[in-house]
Amino acid sequence: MRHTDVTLDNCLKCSDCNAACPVMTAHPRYPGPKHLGPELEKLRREGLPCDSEWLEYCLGCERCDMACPNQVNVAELIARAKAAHKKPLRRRLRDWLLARPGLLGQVISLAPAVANRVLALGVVRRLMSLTAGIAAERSFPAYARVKLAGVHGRSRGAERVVFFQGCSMRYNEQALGRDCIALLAENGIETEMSEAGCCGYPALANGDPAEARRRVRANLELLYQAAENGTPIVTACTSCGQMLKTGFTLLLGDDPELAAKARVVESAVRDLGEFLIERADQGHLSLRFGDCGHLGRLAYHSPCHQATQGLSRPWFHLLRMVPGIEIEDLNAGCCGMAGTFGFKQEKYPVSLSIGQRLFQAIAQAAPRQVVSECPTCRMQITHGSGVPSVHPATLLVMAYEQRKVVDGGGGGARLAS
Amino acid sequence: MGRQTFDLVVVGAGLAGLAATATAVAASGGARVALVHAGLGTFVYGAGGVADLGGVAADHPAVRDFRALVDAAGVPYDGDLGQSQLLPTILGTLLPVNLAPRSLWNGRVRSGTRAAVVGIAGLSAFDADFVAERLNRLACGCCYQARRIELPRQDGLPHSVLELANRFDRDPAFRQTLAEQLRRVAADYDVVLIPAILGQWSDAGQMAELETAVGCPVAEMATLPPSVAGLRLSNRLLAHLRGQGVDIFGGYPVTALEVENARCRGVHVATPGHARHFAASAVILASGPHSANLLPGWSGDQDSRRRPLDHQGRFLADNLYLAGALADPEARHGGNGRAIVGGHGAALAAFEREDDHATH
Repeated sequence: MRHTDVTLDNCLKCSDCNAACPVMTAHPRYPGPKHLGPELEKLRREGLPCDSEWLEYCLGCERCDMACPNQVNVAELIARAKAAHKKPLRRRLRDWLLARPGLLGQVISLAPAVANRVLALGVVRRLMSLTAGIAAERSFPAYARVKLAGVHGRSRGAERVVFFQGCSMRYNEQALGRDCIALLAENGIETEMSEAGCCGYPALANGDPAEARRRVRANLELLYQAAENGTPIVTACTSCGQMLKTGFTLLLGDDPELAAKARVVESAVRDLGEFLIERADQGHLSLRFGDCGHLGRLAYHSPCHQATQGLSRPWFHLLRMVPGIEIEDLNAGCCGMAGTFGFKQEKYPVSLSIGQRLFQAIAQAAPRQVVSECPTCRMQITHGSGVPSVHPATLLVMAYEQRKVVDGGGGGARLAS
Repeated sequence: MGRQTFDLVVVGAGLAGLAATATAVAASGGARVALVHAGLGTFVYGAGGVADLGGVAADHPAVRDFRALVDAAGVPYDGDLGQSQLLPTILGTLLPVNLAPRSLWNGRVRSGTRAAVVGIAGLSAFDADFVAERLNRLACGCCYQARRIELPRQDGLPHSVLELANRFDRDPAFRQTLAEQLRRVAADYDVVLIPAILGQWSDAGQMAELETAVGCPVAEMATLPPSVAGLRLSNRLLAHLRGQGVDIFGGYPVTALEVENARCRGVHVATPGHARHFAASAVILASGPHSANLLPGWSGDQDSRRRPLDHQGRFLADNLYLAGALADPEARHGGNGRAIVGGHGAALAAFEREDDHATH
């Protein structure tokens, strides 16, 4: 994906990127991807001063890249400019922290019960908003001490995947991690939970490429051997997936030796939905689903970083294989959360305004739950629409367990709430 | 390499690719169709008007099916293939067109019509005085008068067509203000002509609502690229096809066709991390003249079923079809019409071949 240098002149200034930009719908002053990307890049390369606070407002959704008819990496140009962007101290400190969800998770999960209670206090949230610029309206996800590690679902002759958890699963959503393990085990695949830490995307999004480079450098070593052996590296988070498929080359590609390793790892990475739909395609997906009519009406939101991986909507198709499932594809654009963006006090109104179209589509569909892969999309959906949200893997596991209940054998089936 | 299997892969999301995809979905009943495109392209620069079909019969099934498609997608066309009419442009010229999206068609020249050309204060992309003056000089039988409305500015900023279109989509109060402003102007006229700003996502229902509030037909004129009218058409058609079950893979180019023993096995797409391979029973290439490099050995000719031929007159692959500007490089004016007919024909040829295959 390192084709920035050959594509800057490919920009024809057609503004297709501006038409696709979610921020442009929500903020009248935002100059847009065309200006912040290829236009200013020409000046930046001349060494002219053209830093802009607006760089912070780029979501990194890469919808501009998808719209561009000429393959200009608009979002990457903006991300590079973001890295050189000067911020006042308060925002710099806050963004330093938001760039490190792994560190945050490590610290908080030392005493999660206490931390969760403290973070839920109104007074603490107001204090964080005043001092650190974290939107008081947002609730933090609950942290847990339990960690998923080791190899799960061992069976003779089984295929193996290395599972990249990402910070959200590691510190907040271990139940989802167990669902992913169960899903893979049901398909005769054993799961090795990787020790790899944060994918580095939050650091990149917060304009901290040095930290992002440290993360991908560490992960490269942890993932390389498996990739080299032909073991798929699977993740259930779409933004981690996008980063794992592009970030190693982006950040380490200047070193020839690391660049070669980066390509090996990047080519081994699969989104879990992508992994499963390709198995389904080859007739290797277990179809032992029970009827899930009891789940009621569902609505599916596809995260931006699903489309940017060139994946269309594998999970939507997987869920539609389950008998009784009634699911609508919302197709209503970006949710506006963009990872840590929506947590920032001054960006919070823009974040919610971008999500307006999605929230309206949810209201119209009136689902019992919204289904989406991305953990922060789900936070935004529940925050903005009031409808609970769930990762599709959880529903697929329910479908397998539902069948076991019907067959009479398997205990411990989970009830849909 | 990632791999997925489809019955049909269509490459290109311009009018030819969209028409091919829609025809395939309608003709096949449940076929797995993938639409692969590398970005929005020139389709959104224009407004989707169809002119001069070059000898195609007015009742051609491609046109009938296309009109059913745009109706279903909420962006209906008006007009008649048998009779071309004149649409005013923002340069104050008249463009002969046979079919156009309804909001543009409303502006066609009709003798004796009094039309207000409505500029928006603070929107430099459209000069109502210029348009009205030039149109009147053409003495086409209509009387044009330049008028101007004020719309609330955001933060005191000048307007842009995209900003106005986004507000039209998102803000009911803005739509109401626009309707009120236009109604005030409309009282003295048969039609109001405005720059194309009526939403990137709006459908025929919202247009009709606006016209009811204004009290007369509202006609849009396409502005400089990307045209809001073209974006709307592209957005709604893609969303409609997605709703019909089509998998849309946008943003990454097809880098190679996999052709083996005169059979196209599928396409390679340059997605991040690893290229993806879409295996297909048939492939339609509708991604414009620059895609010719995907067809080594192509003579530039095609057979009656729109399959590209080599210099010996043999098809490159028995299940590979062409549509749009790639198949029709000489088409300039009238390209949209040929794209619709070509996309339709390629999709029918693709499924006809599959049927033959199945019965033998």
